[in-house]
Amino acid sequence: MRRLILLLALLLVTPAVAQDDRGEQGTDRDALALGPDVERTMGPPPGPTLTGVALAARTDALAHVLRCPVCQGLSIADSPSESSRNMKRQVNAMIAAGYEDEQIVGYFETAYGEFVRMVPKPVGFNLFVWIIPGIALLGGLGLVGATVRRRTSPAQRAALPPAARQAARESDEALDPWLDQVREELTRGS
Amino acid sequence: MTTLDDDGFPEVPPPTLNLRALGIGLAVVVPLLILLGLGFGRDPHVMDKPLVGKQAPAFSMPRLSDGATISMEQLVGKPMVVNFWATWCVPCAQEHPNLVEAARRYGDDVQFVGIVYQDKNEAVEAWLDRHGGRAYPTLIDVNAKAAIAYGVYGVPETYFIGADGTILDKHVGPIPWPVLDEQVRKLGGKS
Repeated sequence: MRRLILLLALLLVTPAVAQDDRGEQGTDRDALALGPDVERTMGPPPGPTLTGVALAARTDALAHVLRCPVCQGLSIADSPSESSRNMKRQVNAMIAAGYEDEQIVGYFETAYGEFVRMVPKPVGFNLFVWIIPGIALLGGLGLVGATVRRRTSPAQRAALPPAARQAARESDEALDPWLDQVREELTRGS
Repeated sequence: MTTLDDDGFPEVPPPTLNLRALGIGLAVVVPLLILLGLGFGRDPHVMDKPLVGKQAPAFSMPRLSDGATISMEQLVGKPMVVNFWATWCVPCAQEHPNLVEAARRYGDDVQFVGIVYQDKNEAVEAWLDRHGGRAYPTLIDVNAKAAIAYGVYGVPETYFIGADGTILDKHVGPIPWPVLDEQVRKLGGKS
């Protein structure tokens, strides 16, 4: 029981510890300040400035499409790492200043490469990622369809031409010796 | 009619090659093998260097020693070695003597800058005292804005920037002396 309580306490404390930043924090103004490189790379922000709930909602949505550079397959929204929190702060600052989502993703892509996108752009070699599942699905459906068509019902079989009916019957007769063998072995076994 | 073999079992007809099935199987398997081969041929530890060949992102950060704001504009005009590091990073301690030595040897021709990543000022001061290295300015990257602009994955990372501000190369991980020496000489360092 004591171990369980300790484990629960640890689970409650761990996220709080993980949220501690190692770096210098600066002020709230620092967090919203854009580095001098941003405007030079992206040009002036085209949109209106944003604050409050709308800013938080857009930041969270955009944080889900950017990959954490120090994690395994996590977005910066899902990662508790300090790098992700810093990147999320930058996203927040850029949205607050009035930058469009695609501009912000482009800014991170300039620095980190296409790796930073959680979903790769559907161009060039990446197209395989988008096309192969569709082809595989169509191929699978085709295979199922062909198999179902081959397994015809007795009524359908009766409607077959005489030559085809004969071929089907011979195919069944070919199994008879095998079935006899199995029956015999089962009888012997019991 | 099925014939029986000597043991009384039905004779199994000789296997025939189903060319259609083989063709479909190869059409599925071969592209997958090619993709797998391409994947194996790539070192997953090699990071992208999308900024190499491009203009170095501008920065503006407080200097550790006096808090004065240092911007990229103040440093451009001379080739630069920009090293991202932190006190909690063990490989940073390994490479530090190399950077100090290079700054002492080539400091007249090449500007060395240390950018501290995710760290506290006091910890940095104590670390520099312990490791005996204030051979070049140390800047504090508040909220890692410069690290993000430079696409830093983790420390240490070292950027080699030409006098015109173009990033010429980037080294990920602790930089060995021969690599650092060669890169600084390429920037124009003369000992």
